[in-house]
Amino acid sequence: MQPLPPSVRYLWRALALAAGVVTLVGLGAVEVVARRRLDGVPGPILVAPVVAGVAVGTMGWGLATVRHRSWRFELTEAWFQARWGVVTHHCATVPRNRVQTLTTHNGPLDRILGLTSVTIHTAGAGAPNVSIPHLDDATVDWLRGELAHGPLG
Amino acid sequence: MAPSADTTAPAAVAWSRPHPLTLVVELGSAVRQVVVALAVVGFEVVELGSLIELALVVGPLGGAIARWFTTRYAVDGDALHFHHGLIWRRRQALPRANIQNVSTTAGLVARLGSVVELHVSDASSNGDITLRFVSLHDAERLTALLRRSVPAGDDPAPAGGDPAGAEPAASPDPTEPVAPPSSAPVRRPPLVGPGLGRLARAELTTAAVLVPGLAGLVAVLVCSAALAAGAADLAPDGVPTDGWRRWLVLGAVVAVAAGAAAANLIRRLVALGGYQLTAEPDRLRIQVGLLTEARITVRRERIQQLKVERNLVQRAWGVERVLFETADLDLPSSAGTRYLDPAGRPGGWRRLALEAMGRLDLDEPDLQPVSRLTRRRTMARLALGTPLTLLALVVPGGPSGFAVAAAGAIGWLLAGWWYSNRRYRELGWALSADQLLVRSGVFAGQLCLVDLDKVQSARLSASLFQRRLGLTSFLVATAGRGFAGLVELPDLPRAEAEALLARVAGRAALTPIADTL
Repeated sequence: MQPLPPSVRYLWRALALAAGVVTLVGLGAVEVVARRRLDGVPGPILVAPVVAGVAVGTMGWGLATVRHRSWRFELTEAWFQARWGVVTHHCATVPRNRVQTLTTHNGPLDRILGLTSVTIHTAGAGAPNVSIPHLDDATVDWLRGELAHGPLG
Repeated sequence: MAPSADTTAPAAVAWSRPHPLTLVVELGSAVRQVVVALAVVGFEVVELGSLIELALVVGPLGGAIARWFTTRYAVDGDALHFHHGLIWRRRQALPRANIQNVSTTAGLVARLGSVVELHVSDASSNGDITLRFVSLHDAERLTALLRRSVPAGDDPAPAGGDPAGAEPAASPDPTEPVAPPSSAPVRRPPLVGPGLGRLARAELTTAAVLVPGLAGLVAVLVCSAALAAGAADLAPDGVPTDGWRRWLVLGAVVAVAAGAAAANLIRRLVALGGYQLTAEPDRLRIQVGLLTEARITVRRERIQQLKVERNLVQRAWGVERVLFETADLDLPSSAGTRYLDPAGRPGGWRRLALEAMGRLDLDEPDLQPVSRLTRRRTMARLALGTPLTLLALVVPGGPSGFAVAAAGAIGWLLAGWWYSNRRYRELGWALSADQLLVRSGVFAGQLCLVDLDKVQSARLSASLFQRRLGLTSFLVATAGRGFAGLVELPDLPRAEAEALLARVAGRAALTPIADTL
């Protein structure tokens, strides 16, 4: 089974670090305002925001690594199969001839890194679709071409 | 299965307009709009000749007439064509091969005028065509025409003495108009037709009636406790004694609860009354409704799965309800439109499964259990609630509430033990070469029968705790509405779940998509 491109791991790690920085700045701003307006706020300045920011960044970094490692997908002659999940593991199988549509979307960061997310839709309102995050453009083109032709043979 | 734009509507087809009564109904609704508009503007400020008031009156009336004149429909060998609208013109061709089902609805006024609303559905969520209104004769004729989409040689229906056999064969030329059937359809005895008494008995066991009833019971108990504690001032003033006040409050609560339950029961009986299911060689016909009558024609090959519902009360009363799912996502939501039997007897689903799906390979004795470890998982989940139970009982009871709390926690765990064992006994699955049968649910029991040809996708999932126990949940998706199209089988041993996934998905991969919807 194929893993996601390595750049996805970097993207998710970067997002985790950004989340840590946002936490630090947000909580730091709250603490600074609180110290200006209230007397007697205990503890050294900015320790709690730094700890929270580092914790969020570190956890996000680790989660990005294991999340990237958990993602696998493959396209066989009969079906498309994807496996993912850190806490809850999932394995979705869609027969190739059941694919109704294939949609792609990419945000600004995706475009900078040359990545595209793909969603495979089947018939029915409740049928869960399969979304593969951040594939490289060559893989997306290959998937689109393969799934457009339906089953092989 | 989305409708295609009707850019190639053949000019040779015979176009028809809706029944003239439609004009009357449209004018009636236009008059209603005018009255509402005038009520908003104020009758006293209306001056005849004013442009605004003139537009208020002429606009809706003119629109109603224009809508009728611009609506037309036709059927040829290929599709149902529908043209509608004056300003926003809608031209639609619904290929006959894509039709999921054809249904008619007739309210009281429509039935007095011998007209019906004809609803032709495909598998998309907004591609249906509604003809409002057509005469009963036209509806029968259109239904007979539209339900026939395969060439005569492939039609499973026998030719002699069958309504399908009496119909003209689909023309090889898709632009050639199709002639109406030469004879009236043969009336068959209904396969299912529960009387009002049995329907009432079945409906008494449904959540719509049970929930208000139970809520009323709880309200009565709470009020009784409050009154016993001396809160007699709950009653309104002007009642002579405290005793009377208590009875008054209790009576009001009982009346509200009983009224809600009775209202739901009556609503359901009106919607489901007169239910009849008729089986024809390649389709099922359903007629349902006491006031608004709905008629639904479902092709057998369109049925995605069959579901049997039997909650705890229904099992005790010997009642079960059999439903079907098609890929039609917006079939009119009248209460009876998805039922094969709204008040069936235990085991009656087998005959209906044979009728609806053409075969029945599996039965409940064939079911094999899921992993025994599912009991441990269920107990673990319920045990998480024990501290909450303790907290809920200790906090209001204070220090003296510990005994009550301990008793509550023990009761909770005992109930959990009973539930986990019962759930394990109810869970079961069976797989044949063509079908999958899944049973689940303790309080709201369900039995699902799925043709493997209809499977759209399959999925495994395993939470952290499931993985520790080596368990995996299996989910099959068919092209039904929302969650109704899904069938879940929890807590299989991992290897068994992987093998099931491979078999189900492998079988689905062999069936062309056109045969699944």
